[in-house]
Formats: sequence, structure tokens, C-alpha cells
Amino acid sequence: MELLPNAEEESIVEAVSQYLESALPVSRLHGPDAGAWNATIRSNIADLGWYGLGLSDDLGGSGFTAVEEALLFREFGRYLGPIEVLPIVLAAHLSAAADCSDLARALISGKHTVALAFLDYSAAEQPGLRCFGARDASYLVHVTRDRAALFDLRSVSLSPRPCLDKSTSAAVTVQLFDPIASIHGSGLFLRAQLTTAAMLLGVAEAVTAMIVAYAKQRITFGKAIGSYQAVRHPCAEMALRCEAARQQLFAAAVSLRDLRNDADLQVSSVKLIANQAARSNVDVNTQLHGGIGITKEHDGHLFLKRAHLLLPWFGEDRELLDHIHALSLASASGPKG
Amino acid sequence: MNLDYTQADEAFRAKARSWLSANVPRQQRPTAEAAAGQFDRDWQRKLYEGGWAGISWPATHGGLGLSAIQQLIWHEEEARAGAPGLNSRSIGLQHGGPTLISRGSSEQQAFHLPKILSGEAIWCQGFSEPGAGSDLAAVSTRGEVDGDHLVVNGQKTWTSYGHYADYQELLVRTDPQSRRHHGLSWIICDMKTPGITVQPIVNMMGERHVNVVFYDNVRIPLSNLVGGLGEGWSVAMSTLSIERAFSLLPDQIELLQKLDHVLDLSRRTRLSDGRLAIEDQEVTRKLARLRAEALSLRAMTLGLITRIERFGKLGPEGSLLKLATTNTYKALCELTESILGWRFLEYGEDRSSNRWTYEFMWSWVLTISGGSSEIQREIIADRLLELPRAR
Repeated sequence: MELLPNAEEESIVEAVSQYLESALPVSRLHGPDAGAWNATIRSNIADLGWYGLGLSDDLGGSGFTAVEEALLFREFGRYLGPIEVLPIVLAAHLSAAADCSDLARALISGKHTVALAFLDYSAAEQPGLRCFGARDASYLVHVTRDRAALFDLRSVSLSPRPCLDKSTSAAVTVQLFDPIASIHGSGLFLRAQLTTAAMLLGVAEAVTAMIVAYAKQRITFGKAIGSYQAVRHPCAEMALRCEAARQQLFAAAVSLRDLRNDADLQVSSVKLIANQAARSNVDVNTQLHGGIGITKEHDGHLFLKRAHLLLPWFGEDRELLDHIHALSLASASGPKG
Repeated sequence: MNLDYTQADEAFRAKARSWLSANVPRQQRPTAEAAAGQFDRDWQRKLYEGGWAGISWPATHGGLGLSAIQQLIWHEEEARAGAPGLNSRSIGLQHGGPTLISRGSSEQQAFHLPKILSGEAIWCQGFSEPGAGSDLAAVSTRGEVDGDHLVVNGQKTWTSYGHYADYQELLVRTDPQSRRHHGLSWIICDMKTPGITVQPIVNMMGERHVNVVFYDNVRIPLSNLVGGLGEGWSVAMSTLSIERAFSLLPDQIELLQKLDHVLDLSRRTRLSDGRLAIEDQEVTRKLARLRAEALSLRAMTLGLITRIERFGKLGPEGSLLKLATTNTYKALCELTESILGWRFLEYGEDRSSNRWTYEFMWSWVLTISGGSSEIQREIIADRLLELPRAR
């Protein structure tokens, strides 16, 4: 039993964070194109081998597992890495599982951009799809609890929508069409849920570090604000939410990798706990920064917006709670005394 | 990372499980004071005779010399078997004993450690005072050297099990000129020494658990000093962090069990509108959130155990676990109130009348004792986040 990253796992984390910090720093999101996704970024990330991190060598992957993927996406959360990477990873897994090896290889080698779709009942009378990262995308991946499907975007008409998180694009469609590949079962959904939770944890950890650093240097009433309990205690709570989400991420990732019986419960739980950590921590970070925290020039709102982009992905709170309850009804062994 | 246990650990689990299932007492721990103390001694005696005493102690001092993982396994198996909690055995086994192991003389160790392990001696703690609770360094109970004795005058409070303990780990100010954590001494006090008066404090649940202890010219041999005169603070701090993390382990493990109990309760309890509680989405969503939190507490515990195995020590992470465990426990108690409705108000003289209402009130004992939640946040802010000190 070992529930902290070992040396090899740490070295992956270090490599990812070093690259993101130097090649895709958070400051890019303040630039004229708001750090928008493009073919160069896509191909650079392919060179790093990240799309195929959890896929087998014969497809051009690295042969790692859900654990390393979780660690990778935690760093994506921390540095607000491009959200377009996750749908490519999911599409590659889907293609591999659906025996479309050529497509899997093409995705792993960075040939295509893939949009990510979620069921959307908000706009139309009939259910549609809300898509993220659809700009210049060739495919669209839609992953639900019991099925995952990949669509060719050339056959779809998308209506662009504005997006709160300016680093990506949003669009909706109501058109129904046939997938080019699909798989059944919950495996890919759990992987998507785990990696999204990992990004939310990264966001929660980043804003904790941000406010703690600020609390050490910002002076009010003649003292660093970090010496006031009105600031110290909310910071301590932020650290606690990070620790809970981090350890649960590790437990869920191992459980999914090892195909344990409780994988669904563990992964659903980490999405719930990470939602809470990200939602509360971006809130507290913004509040404790004071006025500067609600300006465009500051990084705080970028993390706030990213958190809220990711919260509904692969399970918002209500859906997660009802699912966890259903799982515990199925597994509870009745009264024990 | 992995969640696999070694063959040796699995074998240990099987051995613990089979011994516990054959030996865990069938009757509940009595609520009457003297009978409760005797129950604890008898259970410790049974553990001792069965070769299970000193789970966290090194083998060189009569303990089992178990790894942190095997200690976790033991506590999990205890919870599974419904074994008695530590109760009055806790101070001797988790604090007094380990302090003697790390700082006591060989004579002190030879005399006291076997008594703690066999259940012969129950210990209590004499740290807190009316003017020194969370701020332990404000201790003012005096100890004056007179020949080969220390003469103690003053008052201690919140002394759990003081009414049937045999020995006390007592922290006194032996240098009257000293301030804060200087000039304190840690001494073993025989509770039968003349001049000691133990007065009950009845808690809001109606039970006597803690006491005020008065010292009127209490003469304690200097040979009972641990670590020497004036070394009290470092002796008191020598065992805190790992023991503190481990002392919450049973509570944390039992949370998942209690969740199943509350789920069962919600299946057979009707709300004020006549529906079963389990048919209410607000109840089931709260239950689900608590389950996720309880799982994350377990994952946090496994992280701490990994840290102890890897580094041999523990930083302020234990404070995170204490804060989280006690928060979740309290939320669980609040949920049971909303499920029980009027039945929640049926509380008699003590815990035997209503387990859930008792636990609801007990939840504040957990968030206040052993370093209150506010103190835990301060520890996290100071030591984990390294924010500028408030104090």
C-alpha cells in the first residue's frame, strides 16, 4: 500500500509541469488570442507523447495507465493547460477500444483536433449537444456513463456560442447523426471523470498557492494579511480541500487502473470532492485578494472561469450525489449493529 | 502508487480477524463509572494475554513493533469486529507509555510499561488548566523542589478518566521565574498521593467523563521526573504528532460503518410528511456527500501512513486529518437529527437512552478536544502554509 506518488510518477509530474510553465505559461491567456489552441500547440504536445500516455506502445502510446493520466491532467489544471488535450486523449482511447487503430495512431500523433460534447437541454425543445473546443476540430467525442461515440464533424452543423473561458470555444448543435466509432460500458466515462477531477484539483491547488503567496506580501493595517485569522483560517480550509481531493484522486486512479470493484464509487467521489475543492477555492482566492482579484489583468479570474467550465463536465454535483447514493444502495451490506 | 497489501500484511489481517472474532466481549461497555473502568482493564488484560497489547509500541518495550500499515489493519479489524474503543486505555497506550519509551529512564520504563500493557494501570493526563487550554504553555500549577520531592500546588482540568486512573502525566511549572514553555517539568503522579482531590465535571450529555483535579501540597518523588527538571515542554511535545494522527484512526474507520447505520436508519424512519427518509432526495444526497467525504478521509489516512512509512515521521498533515474527520462526523450527526425528527428529542440521562442524540452532542467533544478546530487551522497556517505568525 502506497498512496503518494513514487519517484517514477513524480518524474512525470515534474516533466509536465516544467513544460507547461515554460511553453504554455498562464500569462499566455492574457495575450491577444487568449492562448487559443492551434496546430503548433497540438503537434508539440504530440511530440511529448501526452495523447497516448495511457495507450499501448503498438499504437504509438507510452503504455502508462489511468494513474499517470490523472497526474498529467492535474498539472493541466494547475497551469490552465489547453482543454483541447483531453478530448484528443478520450478519442484516442475510444478509437483504440473500437479497433480503429489507424485513427488512434493519427490522434496520438497529433493529426486532429477533437471537440468535446455534452448533452444539453438548456437551449432547445429537443436535447442538443454543447461542444467545447470545436474550432478547427475534425471530430467530436461524446462520452456518457454507458456509451462513448466519436463523430465526424464534417457532417455536423454547429452554431457558435460565446464561452466564459476565453481560452476555448463553444458551440451547440441539435443535429442527430451517426457515429464513426462507438463503444459501450462506463470505462471511458470513468477515465474522463477522473482526468476532469484531476484538472479541478490542479486549479484548486494553484489558487491556494496564489493566495498564500499574496497573503505573505500584501500589507494592510501595518501587517501582512496572512497574519490575520480572517485570512489564515480560510487558507487552511483551502489546503484541507486540496488534500482531500488529492488523496481521493490517487485512490480513485489506482482503483480504476486496477479495475477494482469500487472504481465507480471512488471515481464518482473524487469528481464530487474535486468539484467542491475547485468551486470553494476559486471563490476564497478571489475574495481574499480583494479588488485586484476581480480585475481582468489578474490571473485569479482565469482560474475561476476554468473551474466553472469544468464543474459540469462528466457529472455536476446533483448527478454525482444521486449516482453515489445508487451505488451505496447496491453495495451496502445492511445493518451491522 | 498501489492499494495492495503484502502477503505478510494479509496474513496479519487474517490472524487479527480470527482472534478478535473469538475474543471481543459480547456485552456493551457499561456507562457506570467504576464498571466502565474495570471493563477497559479487563479488555486490555485479554489483549495482553492474547499477545495483542502495544499495537503501536516498539518490540523492545514489550509492544508488537508493527508497521504503520499493520496498525491500520488492526484498527480496521477492531472496527469490523465491534471491539471496544480505547476509552480510558488511550492516555497510557497512546501518550504516557510512548512518552516514557522516548524520554523515560530505564527504571521508569521497567516499572510502568508492563502495567500499561497488561491493563493493570490506567493513566490520565494533567496538562490543561482553567487558564491553559489551547494555550498549553500558559501552565501555572506550581512544583517546588523540597529535598528529594516535588511539592505540587494548583489545579488541572478536563482530566478524562481522572476518577479511576492510577497514574497521571502531569505538567507543572517548576521555575516560578520562567515564562511560556520554559521552566516546565513532566512528572509521573500517582493518583493515590495525599493532597489530590478529583472533582467531577458532568458534560452536556449527562455523563462524567472529565474532572477537575486539585493539588494541595502533593509530594511526588523527584525520581518520577521524566527528562529532567525544566524539560517538560520538550517531553510533552515528544510524542504528539504521530499519536495524534493515529488516535483518530478508529473514529475515521468507524465513519464508513456509521454511514451504513444511518442508511439503514433512513430505510425505517419516517419523516414528518410520512415518507421514509430514504425517499427524500435531500437526505440521500447528504448521505452520498458524506460517503464521498468518508472515502476521501480514508485516502488521506493512507497518505499519512505512506508518509510515516517513507519518512518515519509526520508533519502537520495530521492536523488536516483531524479537522476533516471531526467536520464530517459532525455533519453526519446533523443528518441523523433531520432523519429522526421528534425521536431525536427523546434523550434521557445518558447515552443509553438515545445513541444518535448522544453522538450529536459528542461531535463537539471531537471538534474541541485534542486541539480545537481553530487550533488545527492555526497549525496548518503556520507549519504547512508558512503564513506569517499571528501570535
